[in-house]
Amino acid sequence: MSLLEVRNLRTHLLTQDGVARAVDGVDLDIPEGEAVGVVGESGSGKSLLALSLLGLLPKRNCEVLEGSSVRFRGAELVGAGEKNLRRIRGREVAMVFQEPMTSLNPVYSLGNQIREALTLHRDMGRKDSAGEAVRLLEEVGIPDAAARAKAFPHQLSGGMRQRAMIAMALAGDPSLLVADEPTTALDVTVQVQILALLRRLQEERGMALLLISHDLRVVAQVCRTVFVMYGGRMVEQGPTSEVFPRPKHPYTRGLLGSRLSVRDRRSRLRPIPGEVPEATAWPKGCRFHPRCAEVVQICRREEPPMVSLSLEARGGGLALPGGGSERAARCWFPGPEEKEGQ
Amino acid sequence: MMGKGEALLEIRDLRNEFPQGTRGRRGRKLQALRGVSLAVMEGESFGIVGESGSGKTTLARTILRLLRPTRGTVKYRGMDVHTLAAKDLLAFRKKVQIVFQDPFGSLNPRIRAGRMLDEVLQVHRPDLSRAARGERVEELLSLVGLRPEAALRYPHEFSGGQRQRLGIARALSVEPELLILDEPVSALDLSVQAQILNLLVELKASLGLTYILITHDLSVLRQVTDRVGVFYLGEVVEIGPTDALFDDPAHPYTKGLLAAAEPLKESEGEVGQWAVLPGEPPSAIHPPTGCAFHPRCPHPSKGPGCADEAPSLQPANKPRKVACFKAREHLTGP
Repeated sequence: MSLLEVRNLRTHLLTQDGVARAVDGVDLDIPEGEAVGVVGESGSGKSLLALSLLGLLPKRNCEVLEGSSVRFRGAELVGAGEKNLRRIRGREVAMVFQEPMTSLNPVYSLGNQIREALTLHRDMGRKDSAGEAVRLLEEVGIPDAAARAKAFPHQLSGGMRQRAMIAMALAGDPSLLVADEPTTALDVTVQVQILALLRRLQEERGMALLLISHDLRVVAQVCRTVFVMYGGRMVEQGPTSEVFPRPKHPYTRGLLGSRLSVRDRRSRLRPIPGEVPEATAWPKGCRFHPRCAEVVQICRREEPPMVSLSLEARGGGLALPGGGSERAARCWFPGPEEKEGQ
Repeated sequence: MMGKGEALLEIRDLRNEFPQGTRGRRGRKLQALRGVSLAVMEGESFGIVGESGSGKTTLARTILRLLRPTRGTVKYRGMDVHTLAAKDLLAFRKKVQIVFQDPFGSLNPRIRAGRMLDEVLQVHRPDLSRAARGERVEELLSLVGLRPEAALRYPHEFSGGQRQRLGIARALSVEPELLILDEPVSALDLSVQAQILNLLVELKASLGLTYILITHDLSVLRQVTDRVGVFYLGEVVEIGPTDALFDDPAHPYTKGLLAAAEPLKESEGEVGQWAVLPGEPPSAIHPPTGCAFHPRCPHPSKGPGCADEAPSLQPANKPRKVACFKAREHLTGP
């Protein structure tokens, strides 16, 4: 059993233009202690997926549809009620967001914000929590942690703020850390530091990590398993070491093809034509077909299922839902083994 | 693709400081540009790379005369941009245009795309009749890969990539010579980034433009520039032809930037091998003494040197220059 099992998760939201099927049938498994990445462009549904896991969606215009299932250690979280969710949030599953400045409280010192979490999640008293807050700041690589615990968010640089956010997330000693674009707002040299930190924490603490990013590099460097999201669904999944060098879905191939490199100059880039469609009107058939270079008749008519490629080698077949490290793609003609250099 | 060998833009010892705090606490200054000198040749594509606070956007604004420099000069075809008389200024504005990072923030939400372009033409091309302007608008839209119907749409009806195309169309509407592109693809998705970069390369070739491309993304620079200047805390720390500089970086900061942007490894779990540059860019209010990079430098020289004295860009007469006492030898050596 995986730590987190997501089955047929559908989160729809009401917009001016109608119902947006933003997350529309996601299967995802996160095994205990594993680093799993979700890659997708804006509009793919990846951030809404993260919020759906812990019931953090605004009720006003969002709805997790019937039939959706999110199981944490076997316990169903969809419709579990606020009281039960609160026992999971922070303590079992913690989150780190993109922009630390908007997630930190500007009028409390870092130490106080971390201590609040410690009191709440680990029933610590005043004295213990003060020491533990400093220790957590040390663990995330903040120099002179005792002094920094007294600092306020605006006194820190972007990288230090993100470290403090991570320290706060660790306060509840979670078994799963969900990080949504944790490095996107940071400078390149600082991004690398934060990724190295996440990877170290995941390994040292034996903590599972769900890393959500638009950046293939970020996921490739930190995660063992990757899911590629498009049109509210996963379109490809498998071990990072296989998906990136040998992408099977044309979308994954397109993403890798439009990636630039610092190593060489390409005479012309090969972008994916068009843009991500609106979630209020996903294309019929395969959701990628209007942008796909290899489209044929069936792609326009019927949506392909997620096909296991490990089974395919033995005669084909449908993928069992989930199955984290299983290699699978949602394509009628999972691609040729085009070698991606580098 | 290389320049025609004539300096279109010449920047000399450009400094820009912004006083901080209220009147009672004068003296604190944010030093956004701390003595930048460089030249951009006609027809070339010059890249500026730097992290936040390196002064790249201040430089763009000072070139455009949207900001006045504290010291130093910006010369466009030999004329000092900041002392231009009103009538020359209008001509200058036609020759130098900018494309911003966030096209949505720089487009009027209440004006249709066609009218927006038409207004620019009314000001800068009074010789055109209404009908001729209409034709020109259609021509501009097709130039950036938009359909003629786009003229009737409002900015919010465009996707991010289309909006950026519109921003480019607006910049091109006055037939500029020099286009300053300030993070033109940073707000866009990967698949759309490549589309816009291809468009920029095509436009430069077909219209004979000169580009100054400002970005934090090294891979974008490698793709579309001929020469690159690396900025750190308001100074150029390394400058040279793009390919040479990327293949064999001299300054430790350039090396760190490139290491952080290395392409995907085939196998996962390579974080440990990354050359992680310690620390973060320092404050521009209290820049470090000597070489601004020395507190983060993996190999600062011991004893006096890096912490006391700021290295100048050397060698002065070569296309590749570096502001580092140690790396100098790397470039001057055999």
